[in-house]
Amino acid sequence: MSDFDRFVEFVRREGMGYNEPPETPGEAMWGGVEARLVGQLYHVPPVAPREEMWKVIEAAWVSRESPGVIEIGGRRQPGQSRGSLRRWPVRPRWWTRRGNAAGWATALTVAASLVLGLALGRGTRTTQPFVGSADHSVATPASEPETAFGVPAAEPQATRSGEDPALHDQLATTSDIVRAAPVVEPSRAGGEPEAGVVDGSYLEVPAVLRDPFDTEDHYPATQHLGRAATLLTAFRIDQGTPGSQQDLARWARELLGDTRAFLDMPGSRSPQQYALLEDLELVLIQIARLGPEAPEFEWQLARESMEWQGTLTRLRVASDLGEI
Amino acid sequence: MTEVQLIQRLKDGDQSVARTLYDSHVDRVFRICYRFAGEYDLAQDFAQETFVRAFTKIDTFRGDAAFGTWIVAIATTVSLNGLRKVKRFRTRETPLDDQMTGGSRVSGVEPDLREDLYRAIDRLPERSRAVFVLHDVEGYTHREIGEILGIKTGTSKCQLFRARSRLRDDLAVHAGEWAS
Repeated sequence: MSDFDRFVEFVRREGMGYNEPPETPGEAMWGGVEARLVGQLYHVPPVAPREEMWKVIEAAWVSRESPGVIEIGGRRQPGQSRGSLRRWPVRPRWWTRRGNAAGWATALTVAASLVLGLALGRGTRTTQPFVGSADHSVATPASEPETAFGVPAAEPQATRSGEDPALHDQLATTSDIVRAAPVVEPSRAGGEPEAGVVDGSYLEVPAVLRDPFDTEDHYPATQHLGRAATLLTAFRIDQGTPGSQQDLARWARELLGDTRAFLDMPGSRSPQQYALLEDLELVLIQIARLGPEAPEFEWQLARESMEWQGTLTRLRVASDLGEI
Repeated sequence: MTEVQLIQRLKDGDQSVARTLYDSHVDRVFRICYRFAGEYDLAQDFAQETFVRAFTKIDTFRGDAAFGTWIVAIATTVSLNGLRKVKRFRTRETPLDDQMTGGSRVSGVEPDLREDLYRAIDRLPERSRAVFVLHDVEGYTHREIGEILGIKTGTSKCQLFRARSRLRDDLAVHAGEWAS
């Protein structure tokens, strides 16, 4: 018997004592099961009678509206009765149901809101720097000046550390210093060594200057929550094709990294905000583990987890209000 | 009445049979939950949640696998998700006598070695730990583990091998003691 075989035998023998269960509290637990079942079954809504309801709605709708009549077949000839023309009842268009003026006013309002929203969105993007995580922002090579969002990432290193006196002072007084990755600086004329390059290898920069949860700099966190809300919405309405399942899992894995980065960042988050990120992390883990081969009940558990915690609703509220 | 008939009656809305199914499977469900949780209250909570989910989702049980396997699968998922949620990967700081419920297990193994083994099991990656607990501790076969965790039999074997290897590495300081 080899050494490994002896070890396996030992593990199987001694593993029996790992979390050795006590006697099952069957009766005590049944009370809890029964109570939870009653709670879940209380006024459980039946399947919505969609067809019947739609017929009633349609009938009520038609009876309230006076349907327009299109006469087809040209003008009525002299002597021809009106009833001999074909009549097609037409359903009023949505913009004419409440009268032309009201319809157009509604349409214009919607269009104006869209334009305003787009303008605000663009303005916000160009004025707010992307600060997905501390490491990302401080270690971005100068040769890659743009982030994935197409906005300038960090300022050039020389500006940050060497030539801006205020920031230089800040760097000098900040106690929380990290060593960032080597930064490739653009060479200057004259061959002088670049400011900001310490011993040609490391650059000392403050790590917590860009906590996304700071009140003045919460845009990336809000944007992240918005993306997470979009993912959960897509997950909720997913039809379950293999392609979509893989996409969802990959998407969740991407967001999971940022979520954990936000969780790990020091900051003065409220317990509610922290709890929301923790709940989001759990749901993302569940979605990230899924795939075309995942058993059905795991999908159901992930959905239940999302619904039970109200994660999607809380995400929408947080991302809309920008409170996080 | 057979279990299949009981399940069919439950699907038909006869909730009175739920207790019968509960009595049949509560022991194994609680065992699994306790193995993963390691805490009495937490294990109770997981076991209750398992039965609630099983009874409310009974319509999705197609009968491809045994009901016992299906409910253990739910118990495993509930436990692992629950542990992630509460983040109670406990630290073993209590005396060994308190940990050994009943204290009936007597062997010639040094307490330190046993304690380090349990700590090492706690530190295993989630999936490896699940496979290890189900196979080496609870005695399920790889085929059953595949059904429970939704993985292939070969994957289960691979995870078990990794778990054992990792345990052996973690217990390297005790090398040879297990042979005695």
